[in-house]
Amino acid sequence: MADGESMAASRVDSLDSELMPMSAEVGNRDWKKIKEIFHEALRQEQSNRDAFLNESCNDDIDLRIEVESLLLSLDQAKTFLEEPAMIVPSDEKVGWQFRNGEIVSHYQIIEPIGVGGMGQVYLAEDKKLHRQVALKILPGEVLEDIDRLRRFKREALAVSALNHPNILTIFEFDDVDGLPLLASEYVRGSTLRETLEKGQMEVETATDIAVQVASALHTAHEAGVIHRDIKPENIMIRNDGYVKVLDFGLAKLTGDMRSKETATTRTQDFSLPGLIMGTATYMSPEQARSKSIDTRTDIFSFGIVLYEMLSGRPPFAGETTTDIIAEIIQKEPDDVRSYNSAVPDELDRIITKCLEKDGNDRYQTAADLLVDLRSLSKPAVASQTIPDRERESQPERDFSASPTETLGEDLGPANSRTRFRLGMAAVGILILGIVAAYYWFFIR
Amino acid sequence: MIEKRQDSHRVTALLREWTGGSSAAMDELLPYVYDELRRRAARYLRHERINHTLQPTALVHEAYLKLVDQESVEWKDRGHFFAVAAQAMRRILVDHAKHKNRAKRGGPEADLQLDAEFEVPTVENDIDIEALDAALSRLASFDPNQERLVELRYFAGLSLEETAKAMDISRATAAREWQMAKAWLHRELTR
Repeated sequence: MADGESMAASRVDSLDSELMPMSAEVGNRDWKKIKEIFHEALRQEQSNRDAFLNESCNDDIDLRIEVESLLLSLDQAKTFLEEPAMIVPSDEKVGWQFRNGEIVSHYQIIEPIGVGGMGQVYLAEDKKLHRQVALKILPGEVLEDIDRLRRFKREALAVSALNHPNILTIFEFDDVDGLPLLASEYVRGSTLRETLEKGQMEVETATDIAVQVASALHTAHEAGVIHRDIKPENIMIRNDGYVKVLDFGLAKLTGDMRSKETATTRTQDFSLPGLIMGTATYMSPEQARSKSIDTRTDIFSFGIVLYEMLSGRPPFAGETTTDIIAEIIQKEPDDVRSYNSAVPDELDRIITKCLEKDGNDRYQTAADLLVDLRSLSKPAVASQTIPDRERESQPERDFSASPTETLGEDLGPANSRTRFRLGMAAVGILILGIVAAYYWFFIR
Repeated sequence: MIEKRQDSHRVTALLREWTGGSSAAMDELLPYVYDELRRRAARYLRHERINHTLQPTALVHEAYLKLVDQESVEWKDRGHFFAVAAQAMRRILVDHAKHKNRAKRGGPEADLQLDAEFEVPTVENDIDIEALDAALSRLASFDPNQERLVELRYFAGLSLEETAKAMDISRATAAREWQMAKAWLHRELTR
């Protein structure tokens, strides 16, 4: 620290002064003058420059030489300083990368399919089981933190083992000569990110995807696992319409791998710049403020994704990460219907409830969220049957205890259950109707 | 956790004092920011294997999030924070370049003794950081604002827009000054 500090300190307090040179003696006699002519010369057409310099420098040869040499230098500078200073680790292990066809353990690399914040992903063939897998290469350090690794295996593999159709199946976690590999089901399709690039979605499509994601969250939360990084990049839409949520528990594994205390508390630490830079848009307020998080953080991030599907834009945006964070913490999102008038009231209400800044005001469980979403995708019978007032008068459950612990209970409050049943009854009546019609036309 | 909160209160308060006109606040601020950036750089480099490079802009934004209480700062405070962070980044990179050059002169064995806490990153591009640092200090003697601009753009990796905001000048002014600073520095380094 020492010397650099005091040197720097003496300069900064002039930050708010005008952009004018402080003194004009240098080897540069009249910096202000040079600057004016230099800027003006740049504005001139190339062909006019000579004439312009003749005129503005009069007979001051030194001035002219100075300006001309700066102009020449600018021409030569091109990319000079345009890339910010970069730091690379001196470690030789950097840059693990596989060639197509290369054999790694019992996998043969077919081709790279992406690079995430967590590492490179390849399409590969499992030579033992003769099936295609997605092979993710994780940072070597995940092997060093035994506690965290154990936790990851317990969480991610456990969630995967639930065989939920909307949760990506992990086949194997392997360590090949210090290189951690994660082999999972290979999904043919596109990420929600890619789909969103085409703009906002139909309400039905978005609701369908939302139901599947919420269903995945519900199952994972019930198993005690928080995703922590719900975003369009982590949601795959298979070509047949099935949605797969990727990377449960992975954010925690590849987060701060050094500090042991964060492995036991529920805080999120952002030691990997890529992590925070990439995902600020989908952070919950509690993540953004490095507060402790629980399953309700996923519900907030889910709300952002749902909002973006319907409106074509994330609710909290900004030029820089810090702008985005400020919005997440402070700003009330614009009404989603101002971007998409087809969004029904009930869906708007669901989004608003997901995006409450205070976790206590949000859906407390993915189960409750799922019930509301499902009632929405059914004909409106159910939600009309139960007046709003009655729904709101239901006492809130006490969630001051850890919400994860309450997840094992039955689906949400009684009213949701009632509505769900009513919804099912409506579906039943509909089916009866169809059967009757079928009978009428074809059997008779 | 508690420690973090105290830091963030202190840094936020210092930023406000500075905006209120106290230059002593600035003296106190730099060490906080410097230490935070240095720690983050070192930690990052210990863990990173796959995405080769570390971008200063990521570090600076993270340090900002960690050190500054988001809810109670204003635009001007933010500009001040980035100015300090850019200086700190410059210091970190230059110190490192010095160590490294010294190690080179001292042969391969000296390399092993490099600053153990800060794990020897390499600054990657063809720019001689020590020479750039010296030229930048000469530039500062007659145009301190251009020096600051270069720090924000090159050492902290801010975009032109962010830099303009941090310096409270228009984007056009920032672009013009940047061109001139580039021209002048390029000439100095190729003399």
